[in-house]
Amino acid sequence: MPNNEKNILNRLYFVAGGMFLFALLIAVKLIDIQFIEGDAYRALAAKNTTKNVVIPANRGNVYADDGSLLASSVPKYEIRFDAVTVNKKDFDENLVPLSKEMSKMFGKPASYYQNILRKARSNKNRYLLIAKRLGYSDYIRVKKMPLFRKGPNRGGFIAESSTVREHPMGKIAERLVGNEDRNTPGHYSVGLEGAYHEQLSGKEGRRLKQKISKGRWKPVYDENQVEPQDGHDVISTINVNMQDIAHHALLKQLEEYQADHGSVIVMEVATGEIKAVANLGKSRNGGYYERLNYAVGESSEPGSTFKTIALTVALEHKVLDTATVVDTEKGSVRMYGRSISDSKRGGYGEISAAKALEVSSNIGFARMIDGAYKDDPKKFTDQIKKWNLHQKIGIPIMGEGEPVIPEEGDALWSKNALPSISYGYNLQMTPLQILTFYNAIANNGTMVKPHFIKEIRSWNKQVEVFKPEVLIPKIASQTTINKIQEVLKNIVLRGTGKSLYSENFSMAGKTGTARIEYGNLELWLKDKKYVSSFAGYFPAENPKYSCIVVIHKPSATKGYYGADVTGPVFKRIAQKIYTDSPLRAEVAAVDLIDQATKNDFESYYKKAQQRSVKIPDVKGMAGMDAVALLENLGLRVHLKGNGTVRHQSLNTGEKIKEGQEIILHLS
Amino acid sequence: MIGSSHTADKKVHRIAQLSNQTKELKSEYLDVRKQLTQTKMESKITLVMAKTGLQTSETPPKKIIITKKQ
Repeated sequence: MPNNEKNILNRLYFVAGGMFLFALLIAVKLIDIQFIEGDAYRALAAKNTTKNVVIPANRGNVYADDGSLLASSVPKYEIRFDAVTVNKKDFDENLVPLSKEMSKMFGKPASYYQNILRKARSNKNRYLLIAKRLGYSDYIRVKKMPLFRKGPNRGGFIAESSTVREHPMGKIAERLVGNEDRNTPGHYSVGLEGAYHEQLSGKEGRRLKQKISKGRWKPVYDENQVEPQDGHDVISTINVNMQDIAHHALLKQLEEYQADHGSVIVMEVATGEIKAVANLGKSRNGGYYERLNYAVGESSEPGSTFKTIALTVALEHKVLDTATVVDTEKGSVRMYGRSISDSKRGGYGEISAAKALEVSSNIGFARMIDGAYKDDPKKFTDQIKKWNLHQKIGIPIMGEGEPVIPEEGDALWSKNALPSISYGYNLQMTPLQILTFYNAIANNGTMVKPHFIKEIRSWNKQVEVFKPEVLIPKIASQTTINKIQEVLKNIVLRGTGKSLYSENFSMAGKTGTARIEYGNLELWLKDKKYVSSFAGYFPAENPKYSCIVVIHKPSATKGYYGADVTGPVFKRIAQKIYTDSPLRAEVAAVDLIDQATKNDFESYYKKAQQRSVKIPDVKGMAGMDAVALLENLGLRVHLKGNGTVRHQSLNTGEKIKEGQEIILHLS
Repeated sequence: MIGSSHTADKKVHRIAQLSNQTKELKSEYLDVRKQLTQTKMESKITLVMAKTGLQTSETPPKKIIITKKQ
């Protein structure tokens, strides 16, 4: 069967050919995958199992001057509930106790929570929100609630953590410390957080990671990565205690006078360190909260607190002396067609320049300054410019207000400008700028720059130290400074600030009451709006701290004078600092032994040493000695009254029973 | 090879656990610290003590220093 044999051979060739072709195709495809499309596939594989992970750097902390935390990053927890994974028995058993616990913690009635839990189960909700932004201890509390304590699978407990900025001081000093921008998480622009953002934020790292089980990633290499650098810590000059006092004292006055907003700054005289900054504004529902950084940002007409600056200029130029007499007439005069009045009806008559500042006479200042500078007002404004009061101090915090000091030739200038400026109108300054000047007066003429930061640290290493910075070594001659200091002291002794006087501690400062929004006089008269302020320092001799308090728009029916509205805040802070520094009394000690005391002690000691089984005689003994003695014998002592023992309820010589009660009458 | 890869994996899981723990501990630390800062503030103490009739002193404490005669 040759025919047949050839047939089989042909078939064999055919099959072999087919297999060869198949093998060839595979080879072609292999080459295609390996070499032609290889790179693309390798990249895809790498993409699915490895990733370049960003390792976030930890943001540094902000500290107060004593090391208290002002801001730090912490995880906050969001709790959700998977209503499907829980089995029916567990759910039914735990529904009531769980709702009760939730009601205890979150405030709403238990029935409410029962309802939403039931609803979530019937709707097969696997992601029901229970609570947001829980701190650690609250999170642990929720985690231990019935049902939730069974964990994620049986209990349906889901916890997600995210890092947020936390302020251990609460709402206090919030504006100064600063917050994360609400709309762009991870960005900080306001306050200290914003000013030192670069130092605080650190550098994020990178690392290549490979996917492993449980959805975790492990690092591929040990090296070849960018190490994250944690942010530095910022140590501010804020003092927690002073901040607390300033905040609450301001709050109290704002509430009492129903003012719109106010601010307080406390500064250390010698160094310019800012010890406290409180900014409170009224919210829509009438409460007060840290709203805007008024202390730094709000430039407004300072009113009478500026008179001190005007007088310093005039004294320094020797165009006036504190004894120069000025006629303030009957409390109302017209100058260049505009009427100026003093707060006292009937006026002050003829007074000295010093007295004009003490009683804060607008007329006195308008006449004195106008009289001295009307021919050369530039001389006056140039001196103010020499003190740099016409420009920003240049603090690192965003939003410092721009002062406005007009001069001859400006659009704001007129014949009336100079007299107005002399008592604090027709110009604008921020509270911080005014305080910087008062601080210079307190600091014997050396103007230091206010600063908020002591140092920047990385762990225990100093990165940058901020030293006090002198702006002007001497703003005026010592004679001028001494005179101004004397007048400021007298203001509290007998001037507009005399209601603040305390015999215990001394203060010096100037009150201020300025009208605002007076453009339309008729409107203003209907609803009088003022800014009350008080700027000064304490103690009057060798001042340690300077302080300014500004309160905007107190309710005019309750009062608006600087001494009444802002003065008490100033006084409270001064008092606090006074009571915090102990008085020293040195006693030359003597090893004198008082014979009576010695005898007394010895007889007591003898009694105390006897482990007596009988009630001792404690009559005539001091109460505290008797208690010690009797309690050591195992008696329970009850005292009535104070002083020495007159009567004891158990008689001397009775046998003691352990735990027996004895009543002592003292007188 | 496979063994060491597994130990490495185990270590990764352990690290994840530990870093979670440090997070929790830091959170707890700050939480307690916050409570402490707020309770020890003078305004809080004044408020609490007002109920018992105590108030802030008007005068500072006196520090008596004994100088010994030689």
